[in-house]
Amino acid sequence: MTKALLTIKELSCHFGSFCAVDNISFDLMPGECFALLGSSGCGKTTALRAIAGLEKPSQGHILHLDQTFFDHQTDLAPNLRNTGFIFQDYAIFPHLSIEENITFGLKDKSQKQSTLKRLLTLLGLEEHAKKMPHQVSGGQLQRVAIARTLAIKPSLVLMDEPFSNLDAKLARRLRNEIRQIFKSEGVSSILVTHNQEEAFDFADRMAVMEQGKILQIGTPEELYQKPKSAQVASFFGHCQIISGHAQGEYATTNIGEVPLQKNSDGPCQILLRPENMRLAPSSESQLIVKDIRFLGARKEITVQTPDSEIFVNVSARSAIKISDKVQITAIEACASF
Amino acid sequence: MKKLLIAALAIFFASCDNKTQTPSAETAKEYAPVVKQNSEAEQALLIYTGRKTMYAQPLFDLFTKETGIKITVKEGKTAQLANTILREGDNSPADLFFAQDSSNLGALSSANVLEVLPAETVKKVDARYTGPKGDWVGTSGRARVLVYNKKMVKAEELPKSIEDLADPKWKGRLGWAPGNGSFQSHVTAMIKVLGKEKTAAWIKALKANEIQDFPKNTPIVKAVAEGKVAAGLVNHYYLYKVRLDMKEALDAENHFFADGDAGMFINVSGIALLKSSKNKAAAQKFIDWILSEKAQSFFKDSNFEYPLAAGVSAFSELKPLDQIDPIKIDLGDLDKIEETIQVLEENGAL
Amino acid sequence: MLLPLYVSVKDVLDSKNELNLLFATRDLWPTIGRSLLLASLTAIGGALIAVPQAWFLARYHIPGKKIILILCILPLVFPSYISAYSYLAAFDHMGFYQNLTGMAFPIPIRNGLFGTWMSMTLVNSPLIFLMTYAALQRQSPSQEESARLLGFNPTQVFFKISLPALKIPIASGMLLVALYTLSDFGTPAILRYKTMTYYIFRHLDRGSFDKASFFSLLLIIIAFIFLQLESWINRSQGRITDNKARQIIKKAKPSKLLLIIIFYSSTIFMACLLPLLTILYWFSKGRNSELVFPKNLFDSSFNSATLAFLAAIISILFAVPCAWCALRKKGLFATFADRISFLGNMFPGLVIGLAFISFFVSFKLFGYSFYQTLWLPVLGCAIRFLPQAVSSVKTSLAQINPRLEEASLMLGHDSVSTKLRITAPLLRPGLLAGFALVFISTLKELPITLLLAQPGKFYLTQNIWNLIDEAEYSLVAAPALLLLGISSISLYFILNQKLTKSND
Repeated sequence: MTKALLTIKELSCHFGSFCAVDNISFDLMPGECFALLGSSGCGKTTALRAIAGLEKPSQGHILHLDQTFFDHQTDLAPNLRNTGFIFQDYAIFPHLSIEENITFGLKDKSQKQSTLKRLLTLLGLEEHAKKMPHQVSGGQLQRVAIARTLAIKPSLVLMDEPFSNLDAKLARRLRNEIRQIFKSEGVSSILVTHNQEEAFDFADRMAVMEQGKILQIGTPEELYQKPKSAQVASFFGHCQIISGHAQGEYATTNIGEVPLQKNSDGPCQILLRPENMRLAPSSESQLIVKDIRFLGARKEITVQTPDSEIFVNVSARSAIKISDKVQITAIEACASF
Repeated sequence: MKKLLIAALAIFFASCDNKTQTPSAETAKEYAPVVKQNSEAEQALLIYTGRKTMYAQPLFDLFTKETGIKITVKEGKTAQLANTILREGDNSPADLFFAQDSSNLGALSSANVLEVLPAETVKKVDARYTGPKGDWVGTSGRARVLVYNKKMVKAEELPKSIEDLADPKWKGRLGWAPGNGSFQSHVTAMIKVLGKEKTAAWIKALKANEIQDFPKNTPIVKAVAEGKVAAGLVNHYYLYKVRLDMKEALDAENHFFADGDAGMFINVSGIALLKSSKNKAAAQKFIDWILSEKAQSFFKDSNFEYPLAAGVSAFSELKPLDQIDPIKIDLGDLDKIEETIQVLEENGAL
Repeated sequence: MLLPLYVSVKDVLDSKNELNLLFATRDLWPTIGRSLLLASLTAIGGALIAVPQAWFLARYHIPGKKIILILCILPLVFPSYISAYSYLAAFDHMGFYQNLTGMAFPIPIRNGLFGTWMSMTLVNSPLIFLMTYAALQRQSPSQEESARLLGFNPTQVFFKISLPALKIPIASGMLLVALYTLSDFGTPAILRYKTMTYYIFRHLDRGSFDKASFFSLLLIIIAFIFLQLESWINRSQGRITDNKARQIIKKAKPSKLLLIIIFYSSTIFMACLLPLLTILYWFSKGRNSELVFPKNLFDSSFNSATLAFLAAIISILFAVPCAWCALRKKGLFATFADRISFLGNMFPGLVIGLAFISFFVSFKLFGYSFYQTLWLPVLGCAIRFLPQAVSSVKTSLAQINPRLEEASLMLGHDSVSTKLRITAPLLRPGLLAGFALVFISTLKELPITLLLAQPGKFYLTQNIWNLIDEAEYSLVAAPALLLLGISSISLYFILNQKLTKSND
């Protein structure tokens, strides 16, 4: 196994008595794109700033290869960490031109022109080089921020909600572009976001944070399909949780029997995804179709159960109508907690 | 400076901000020449002057030209400067105190901060215009007069006594400057001579006569000359100054009250040498010089004041000083102005 | 910084006996009453002029808008004593007005509330104007529009929505005016209205430092109360800051426009033109050119400019760490730094001057006495006007996104290099504006220069004051015009900076 580029161990950050980051640990592999997903105020930004050295942790270790960024006796200044940081509002220096912004961190004057040229081309900013920041658009500012960071050849780039100020389409395009650039340049990155789609799209691996703690770390697939808790599950997609009673591989619920990912016994919570189920007409069923929404590639059907409503995805060509009596079958094993 | 040190500390603690500290050193450099200037100035005489420099500066320049001794002046109100000297005590940087009017010299004399002057210096000036202890001398004098418009006041109407102005026949015809220092000194002298009640009654009567307020002497003289008021209480020399300034003959004329009357008051400017002076020889030189013919003539020629020494005679249009018998009071003892102000205020003059 | 307070208290305690007398003075309470009356009437008068001025300018198409804007602010460069003198020279008997019309001005300008009030109101109203105008520009018109849609007519909207929304800026502007009025000494001294400052000045003239100190202490206490009120008002401020608020500018009906224009012309005439005309009138009457242009005019202008320059530099040097701590640091020290910079507002120039004399007379540092050196007036003015410097540095600093500095750190620049390359250039407008503000204020400052001037040094303000004191109206003109000229140029720089910034 390759050695981790960055190791975070038992890191905590306090603001007064408030614990923003609570004892988190994770590793980052070289070249890996990592995402920290969480709702606002969960401590993800603080964790990122602690890694950058902009916030002082109260305890823990941050190791970068053989270099200690932070432990109980070391606190390396942020400017010595050779880490890139992309801010939510880009933090482009308003008094410097695009060109000057990009070369701002370059110490080696001889490489200035070649680096500048390479980065301008890489990010498609050639025609804006001489402009001032207020003369270009938000998307372009974002590119400037990326270029400026890449200029110092960081081994690690930290990004704090970098796409939240852009419209969805542009954000997606930039995200893919940046991921490709990072991959081709071999740069590791940590993306902080509250948007699961963004995290999925970008990350090789990701962590879900809540109230300062990391709930689960894994690949996007793992987190989506095998969440360890209802809390984690609730971050992704359409998450509906019903209660049931587990009996080995199955659980009985009021929509019938449901296969489980892992054997268990006794009362449990079961995660149902709309795409994990299938509907079939059944005149004996107590479940009734309440509403149908057409979503183009599929239909989303609201099924009324005795105590709640469940959404199920069906093919767009399905002939099910409102008020039909239906039966729900889970086609895959479900996560249970 | 204490504050500077604190500030420097503040800067130091506030941020490791080298930028703010460097300019501070630069300003210190900018100050260097100022400090140097000060040590050079040790040779120069420091005069605290209650006389306005715009009138006195030519005199100082003349002295410097003749003796090579430089003069630095601090200008202010006479009373304020006198109290500053008292406050400064032994630390006072001043060498000489040049008082606009003698009123505060008495207080300095009793506080023992004035050097007794050599007898031959004091002798140059009539004893009436010097300090009783011989620690200050008058330099020039001014008489309080009634300036009147020749077309509006007949010669036989002119009052013998200042108290006659209370007569209702002067109603609406008079002007004064109750906030003016010379006027207030005069009222202080009147209180000494006439008593508080009589003076108060006189002020009340003038107010009843609808006497017009002016800020200073000059506007009174101008108003009289232009016939806007018939007469006003002023120092004698303003008439000649206004005439010189307007460059034309005026309808105004000075009238002296009768000898011995409370209105016949002569006040002087005076000079004293401070005990704390570190430059006494030069200071003494200045005092002797200001009593010389040249300086005395300056008072006469450019200010139309009464010269007090060196036998210089008064401006030709003036009644000579030796023919005047002003009220006799200790001129250094007119600093109890608080009472005067109170009398003026209580009777609506201020 | 606390020196003035300490010295005042000490002086007062040192002279207990005299103070008993003073307390017994029948005029003590009426004097305080007059000061407060003047301050409140001035605040009200200022608001009555400034609020409509700001309102019409912000909400209507008015020809010559930019010029009107500048003219509304211009009285700020008029030192109060020059305005007072010009109204005196205009309306006192034998004044400009009487010479022109042959009639005396119906209300006596001197020895009463009216003249002092008028002069103070006209000089200080720009403070309220600035605050109100800025607030109006931030205010989004959507509130007014929805009120219209809910069935209110424009007059109702103005009184129910617009005016209440401006309550806080108007109130803090009025308090500031009241504070300035309370501590101004030139106007009451010239127009003879017996306020506390009038007595401080009078006692000072007569050298009764202890009595002056007593009134100073009273003044500090009242100013302190005013400042508490001010910060309380500002704290209760629920500000909707929409920097890019879209502005709706209406076209006024011709009849209304005429009224508006008459309003502007008359207020601007009274506040700017009349003083200027009066000064020019007296200027033209001066006959003796040697006195009209005294030899020391150049010297004293130079001295004034030097003093103002040094005071501005020093107060900026103090202001940067103060503003920095107040904004970027937390805890006791930050609060302390925030408050201490505000103290200057509490000490009128007279009080600072007095305290400095008392303290520095015998104070020596390493055997060097600062008494009667340039340090004293420079330090005095720097402290007095520190709040102005701090607030403009603070405004500028608050606009600098701390992320910018962090971004620079992340790009490998250390904290010093970051401050030099990022913070300093971005702070520059604030530093310049603060510098210019302190520069103008120091140029105008009378009592500190009067009290602390070095021997042999003359300042423009001193010259002007002496001449006003001597009622040499025609001789005041040249130095007064010079002072106004220099201040106007500095004001132009500030405005230019502000205007170009808002254009971006």
